[in-house]
Amino acid sequence: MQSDPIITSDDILGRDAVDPEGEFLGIVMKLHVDRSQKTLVGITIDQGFMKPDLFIGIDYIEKFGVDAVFLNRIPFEKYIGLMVYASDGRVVGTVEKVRADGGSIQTIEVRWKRGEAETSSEIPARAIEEIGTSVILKKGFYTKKIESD
Amino acid sequence: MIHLTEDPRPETGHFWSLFLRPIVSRTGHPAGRIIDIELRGAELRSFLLFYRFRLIRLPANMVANLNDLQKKSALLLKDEPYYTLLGRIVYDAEGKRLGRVKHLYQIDHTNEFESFLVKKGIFSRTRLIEREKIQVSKKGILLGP
Repeated sequence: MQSDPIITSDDILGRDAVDPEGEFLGIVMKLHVDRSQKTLVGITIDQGFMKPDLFIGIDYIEKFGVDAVFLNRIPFEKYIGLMVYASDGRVVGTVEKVRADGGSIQTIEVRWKRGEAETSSEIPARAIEEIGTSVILKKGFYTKKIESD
Repeated sequence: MIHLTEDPRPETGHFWSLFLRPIVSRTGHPAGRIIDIELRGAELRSFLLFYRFRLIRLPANMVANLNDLQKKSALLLKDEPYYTLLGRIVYDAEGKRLGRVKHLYQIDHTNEFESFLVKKGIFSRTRLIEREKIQVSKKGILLGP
């Protein structure tokens, strides 16, 4: 099957969707086909219970594997809800929004508690040491408080 | 601009201030909780961690922020501990799902491992994979060709 260049919807639907970090994102549930061009334009991934479906354009698909569809780009939506730690291990908050431009993260919006109130702060990408299962910030960062509309 | 100030006074505490403190790896992966410490004289040698129903001994020199620990802050590691690979899904180069990591063969008592066992299901056979075959191991494990 792997040598055959033609595959069917059976070979794609129900397969795992895996990002470049090796993380399992969900199951491929739908194929999107352009009616006029008669080409595959994307897939929809079911991320699980209570999570929204994720549409992935065909340009972001690296290859169709035996049991998995590999992506060539990390969907930044998966960073929402991650815990954010300062360089000394303190919990800063959780990621609420990710702002990206051209495939790279520009800023992340972090929701954190200040006393009894909750507030949001914007952290630039240069302040981020590592993003993985959580976000670890570099030492001595500054955040810009987001003014509510 | 808001500056999150760091308390210049590191936390001075006792065993119970470290008990059940979370440990986070370099990539932010949860790496367990402290349930015991090992001292040799006055020197802190290692931590005993509870991680996924296993007891893991972690050398204290792997912790990056031990000297400037704040109250209620997590312990951050300098590197990715090898045992956090347990349970991760493994895919080969052709996209075939091989299973989950069941066991790692540690090299002596270091943070390195030479190979690992992967198993797909209860009745499937266990597969031994060499460490050199790993291409990506950040969230899941992707093997090279």
